[in-house]
Amino acid sequence: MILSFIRRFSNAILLLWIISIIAFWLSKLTPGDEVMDYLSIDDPRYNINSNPLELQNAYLQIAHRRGLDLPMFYWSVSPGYYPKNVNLILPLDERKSLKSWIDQTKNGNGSLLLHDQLKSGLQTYCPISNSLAAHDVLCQHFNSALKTNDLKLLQNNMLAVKEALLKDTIAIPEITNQLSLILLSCDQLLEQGNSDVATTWLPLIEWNGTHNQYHQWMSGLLSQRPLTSLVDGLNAWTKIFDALKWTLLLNGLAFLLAILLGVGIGIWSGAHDGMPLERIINWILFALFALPSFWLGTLFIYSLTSGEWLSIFPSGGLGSYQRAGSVIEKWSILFSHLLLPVMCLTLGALAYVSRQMKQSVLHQMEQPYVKALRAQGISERTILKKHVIRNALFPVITIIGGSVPALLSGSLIVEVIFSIPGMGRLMYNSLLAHDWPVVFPVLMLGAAITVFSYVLTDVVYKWADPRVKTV
Amino acid sequence: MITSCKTGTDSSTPLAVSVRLPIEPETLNPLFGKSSYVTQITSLILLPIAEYDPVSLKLSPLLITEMPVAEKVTEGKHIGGQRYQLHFRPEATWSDGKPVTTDDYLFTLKAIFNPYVTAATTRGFLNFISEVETDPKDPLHATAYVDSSYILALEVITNFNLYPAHLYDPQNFMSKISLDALRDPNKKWSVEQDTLLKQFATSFESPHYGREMVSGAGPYELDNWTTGEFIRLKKKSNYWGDKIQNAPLLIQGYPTEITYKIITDAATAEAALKSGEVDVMGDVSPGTFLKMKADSQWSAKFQFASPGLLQMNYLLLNNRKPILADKRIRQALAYCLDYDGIMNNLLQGLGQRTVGPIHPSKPYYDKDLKPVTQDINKAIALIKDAGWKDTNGNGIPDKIIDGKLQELSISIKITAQEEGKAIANILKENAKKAGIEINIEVLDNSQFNDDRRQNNFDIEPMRMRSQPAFDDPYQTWHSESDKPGGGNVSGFHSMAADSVINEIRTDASDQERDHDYHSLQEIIYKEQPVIFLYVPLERIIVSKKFEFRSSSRKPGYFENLFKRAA
Amino acid sequence: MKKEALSYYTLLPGWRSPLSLRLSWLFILIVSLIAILGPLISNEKPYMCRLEGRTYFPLFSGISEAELSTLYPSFSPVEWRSTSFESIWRAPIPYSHTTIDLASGSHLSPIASQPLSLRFRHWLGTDALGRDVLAGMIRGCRVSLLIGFGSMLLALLFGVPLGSAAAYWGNRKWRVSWIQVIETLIFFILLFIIWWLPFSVFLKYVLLILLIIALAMVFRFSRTIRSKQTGIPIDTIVMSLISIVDSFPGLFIILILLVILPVKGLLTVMMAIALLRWPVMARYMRAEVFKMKESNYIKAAQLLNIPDLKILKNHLIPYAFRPVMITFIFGVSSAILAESSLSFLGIGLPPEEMNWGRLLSQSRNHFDDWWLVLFPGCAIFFTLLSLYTIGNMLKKRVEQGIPDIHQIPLITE
Repeated sequence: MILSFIRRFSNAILLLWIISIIAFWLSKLTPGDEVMDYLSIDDPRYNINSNPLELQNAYLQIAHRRGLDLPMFYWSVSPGYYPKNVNLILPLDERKSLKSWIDQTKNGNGSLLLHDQLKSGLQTYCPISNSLAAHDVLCQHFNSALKTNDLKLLQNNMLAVKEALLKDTIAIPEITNQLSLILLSCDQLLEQGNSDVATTWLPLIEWNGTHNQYHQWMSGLLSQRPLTSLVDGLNAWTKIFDALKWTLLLNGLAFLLAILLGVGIGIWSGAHDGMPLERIINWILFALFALPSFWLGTLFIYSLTSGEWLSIFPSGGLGSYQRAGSVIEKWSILFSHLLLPVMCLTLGALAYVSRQMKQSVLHQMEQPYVKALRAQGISERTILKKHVIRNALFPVITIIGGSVPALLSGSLIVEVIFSIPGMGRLMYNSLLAHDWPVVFPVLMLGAAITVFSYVLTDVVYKWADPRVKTV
Repeated sequence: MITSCKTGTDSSTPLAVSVRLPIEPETLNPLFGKSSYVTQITSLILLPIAEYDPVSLKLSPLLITEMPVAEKVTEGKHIGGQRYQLHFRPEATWSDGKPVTTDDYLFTLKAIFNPYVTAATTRGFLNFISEVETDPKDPLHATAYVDSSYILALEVITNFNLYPAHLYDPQNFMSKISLDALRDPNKKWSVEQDTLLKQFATSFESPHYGREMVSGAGPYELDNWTTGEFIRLKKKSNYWGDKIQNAPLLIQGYPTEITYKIITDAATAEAALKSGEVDVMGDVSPGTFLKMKADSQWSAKFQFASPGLLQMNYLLLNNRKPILADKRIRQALAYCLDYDGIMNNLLQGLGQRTVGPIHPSKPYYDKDLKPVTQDINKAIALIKDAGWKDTNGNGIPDKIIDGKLQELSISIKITAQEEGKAIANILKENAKKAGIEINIEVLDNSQFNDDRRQNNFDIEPMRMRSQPAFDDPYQTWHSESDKPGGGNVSGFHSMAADSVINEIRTDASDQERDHDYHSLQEIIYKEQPVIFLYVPLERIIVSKKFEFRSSSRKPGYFENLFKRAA
Repeated sequence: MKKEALSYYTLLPGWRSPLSLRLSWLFILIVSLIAILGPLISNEKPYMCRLEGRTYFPLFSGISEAELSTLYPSFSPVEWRSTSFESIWRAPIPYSHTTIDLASGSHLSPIASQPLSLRFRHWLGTDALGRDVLAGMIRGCRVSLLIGFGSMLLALLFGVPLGSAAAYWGNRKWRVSWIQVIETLIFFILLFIIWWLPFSVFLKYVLLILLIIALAMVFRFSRTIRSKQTGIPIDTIVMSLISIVDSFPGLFIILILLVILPVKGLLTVMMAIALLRWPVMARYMRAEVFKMKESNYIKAAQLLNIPDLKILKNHLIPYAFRPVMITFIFGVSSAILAESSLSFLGIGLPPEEMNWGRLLSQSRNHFDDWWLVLFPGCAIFFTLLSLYTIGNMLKKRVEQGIPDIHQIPLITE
């Protein structure tokens, strides 16, 4: 028994580890460049003197701060013709173009050489103190060249630059020499390709040690280093727990209400199956189920809060509970604000729970033991109360178990409509902003709750019903 | 009544305003905030030394006594440049009563030029300032030098938010390093200096200065920011601006408390407005705005303002793409669009057309040019003229470009925003009539921006915000700005336009400048490098409890100027 | 009455079926019919039109307005609605779901007077872009049903085999020799290397096929070698897969898939919903098969040395399938609802696409436009109700119609 529990527990830990890798991998698959997103400002005034070198320094600084200059994982696998550490080159668009050169020519070192030459050109011509107009132009050309994916195009561009310079009477030999060198490596790359074919046949596996991005994420998760949001710099766990309390309150209340009401209605309609009133209730519940929660929420907001029809509820938000004088006042403010969202969540779930309960009651009513009880002359009411309900409650317990994960982020739409700063919204906004230091712990928290709740249900089942075999 | 209005800031009667905020700002440090809502809030807390007046739209002094005048420098190292004398207001104080001095001005510049502070883009803008000299005798006097003449020089010198040195840098790190050294790109820092700079940058960008200790010379200070719920500002007690006669509008402050309620959903925000939980709402959808205005139930409770915004919506075309490099195809696209339909339905008439990059409210807007109107026949003729013909019988015209058969098929990339979706749908349906196939691609924000940076797009719906100052077309229309990270995203190249732009930037007289602006508009009108759609009117609804002024500056209203209605 | 044989047809209404079941079937049938015939019912392109003596069939041949404009410059620009054709035969509803009619106006109410002739009247009004709501509803039949049934079919495709395999073989029953395990591992390593190598795509495929053939041959050969055997823990693998999918919030999976997958559109949304739903299917299937595999009936089949796959295919899945069918039917309705929630968040289907959920979500910001609520709302409601009724009836029949599985006499083939 204990051994099997330990085995399940260690399985769960293994599963969580796999989930963490999947989450990490998915985060790296999302397109876009988060550093550029952070750096760019939409105000055109601020683009005036964007100096490539300065922008690049800023880029590297932020990339370093976010750990993006580290390798991704404990090991990395790349084709044999890739030089070492290509995947550490930043900015991202330069890495992309370098990789495309390598893929075109299969010549890693040659491409890297070209990259380095262009980079050194950038270092020479871009500093602001060089106020020479020719330098400024060169700087821009080098910068574009570094971001050109097509090698042929790059070569043509550089050739054009060189010719333009040579036409200029005051051509500086140093510059033309540098350009010639670059053109030479372009030529070599395009013509020769890779001379050392043997290395291309084997994948290159590198060991990166623990100094990698995944390790950083995981150690952040285990609170060995603070996880801070990329958006506002706040501690991720603080943000999560702030949001979690509202979501738990909201979903907890709705859940409780849905179960209580749903079970009640289910039992009643199971006992009165086929009655006109039961049918009407059935229809109403069904209509509520069929209406998407976003629409129901808007209906509430529109008709009950705006004054368009009635204005008996506060519309959205949590109100000024912080200014409340007493605890009672605080909670009354909170409840008045939470009433509509809770209703909105409850009504959607009500149909489902009550339907399950009704089915379960009907199923039990047909069981032989009920017939036996009837035969004994026990009244329907007593049968229902004493025997049927207890047995019929089992599926509801399954529902409760199954909806624990949904408690965490299942109420996004209601949170959006009623402006409640809960987990659903936190998750959604962070995901849209690619704020992975917040998304990752949210995911792992959810995963941990799900996985362990499964382990727990298994164990509880086994404890409750020894017939359940160890699988 | 009139007298009470004049004294206005009678703090004995509290006046609370609550404003709807659709997006929560990430920080209240204006240097690092991205959304325009950051500026909206911080402009009440931090002040620049001069700002565009909401009514006159002229750059007017806030923390200085008068606008500096350019003086020609005839000697010294800035010879040939210009000099501006800045005289600070002696009355101006920070929240703790310490006076605003030129040291704070210098500190702000140093903070921005600290290489470890991630404000590279702002630095690019402020790079025009060559030197700032403080007066050792007079802490309220400084001289700023600009080496080259530039139309926005005055704006560069005066229009950035001032931080109090003693509050943002209590250890006085930055006073140990000179601005000149910070601006020298070849400067090698000693280890000690390097740690100083790093320490300052880390603390300056920390959430502490973004969400707790936000302080400046403005009339308000941060009172409470509850994440996801609201941001509350309160009026400073004993605020220096109250004591000034004829104070500029932006340093006045009437409400004692301003609460920004974060309501993401538009329908919910509308309900909050109607129920009185929110007093002010900007950016209302045109439909709601007009419906509420027409409804007597609401027009009795609210006042409605629709000032013209300094913003233009346009379709960005990528002129580098082989199909769109042809002027005729760009023009054909422009002729396809049903502008009347867009104006009447999408905007419900709350907007106006524009011919080019100059906002119609500007004096140098070219009124002789007529905005493009829908003309499918012209579009079809242009496409035919450009050599496109359906040769493979698939219903879409094609042409051989660079040896490859190209279909006249263009993609438009949009984000999840409703407005972009509507425009894309309309474009697709309209272009179909002329035979152009449009594919709509919905991308997430990050990828959308990334594709634009890498010029990997055909069409994107965009908006261009313009400033009350002179427009500097160099950023968006000069061929030199077509570079990675440059502002010329459309890839528009025109020698004629380049030379006109160069002239505009250095023109001395208004007349010459107007002439050049006109010829630029004409060139862009003929070339159609992008398709200008419309200039929207802002839609603001304010409770009748207040008296307020609308303005064409974003957000179109000024919270600090709200007064109790008579 | 003849005892109803165990067949998939129990689902269909018989002569004695209650009215509600027949109505439900009728409704689903009509919706499916509209879904199939949609483009013929509502289309801006006419079936046939005649211009200067020549006849065109735009709806079938695909000829566009632009082409006609170039062919007949005197009529240019040709517009289906306004050009005076010599004769024209239009679809019953002369609008497609994408047709934008801004000239008549957006937010047109069905009962308000419209500046249009009766033939072109927007019978159910227009939306914010001036698109015909009726055309949108007709398109919605197709899109909603596709999403509902498509995603659940995909889920079924994954869930049923995985769930039944997990239950049937468990952790120990499927025994393979160690040699085969090692062979498979080598196969995957080779696969990985091929993927990395700088070969052309064609060569990669050729190598892949060769590799698979080689594996099959080696497998066959190694069967003759005796070696120690090990059980493959299929159940644990499947249950772990299920836990992994369950561990991620549904919204996360959908959002990430929509961002990552290069192809966007109906199929992506279907795949995303299917990915979320297959664990439910697999779980049900697993539970059903688990219950039944202990029966004498199956044990007897095993004793007769009938191959495992055959037992699964012929004797287990058909019985277990019908309870799973119920989950399927409820799943269809919840998939339709899930898609409408995605519309609310502004993600999912491409913007030119139209369906019930999208119409409904438009109504949120234009609450006075009751026609954007009523029609799509009713469509969703009745579809769900019909599916629910059918599902319920099926459940009853499954419970009543099938005798206890343990008592079924052995069926020999």
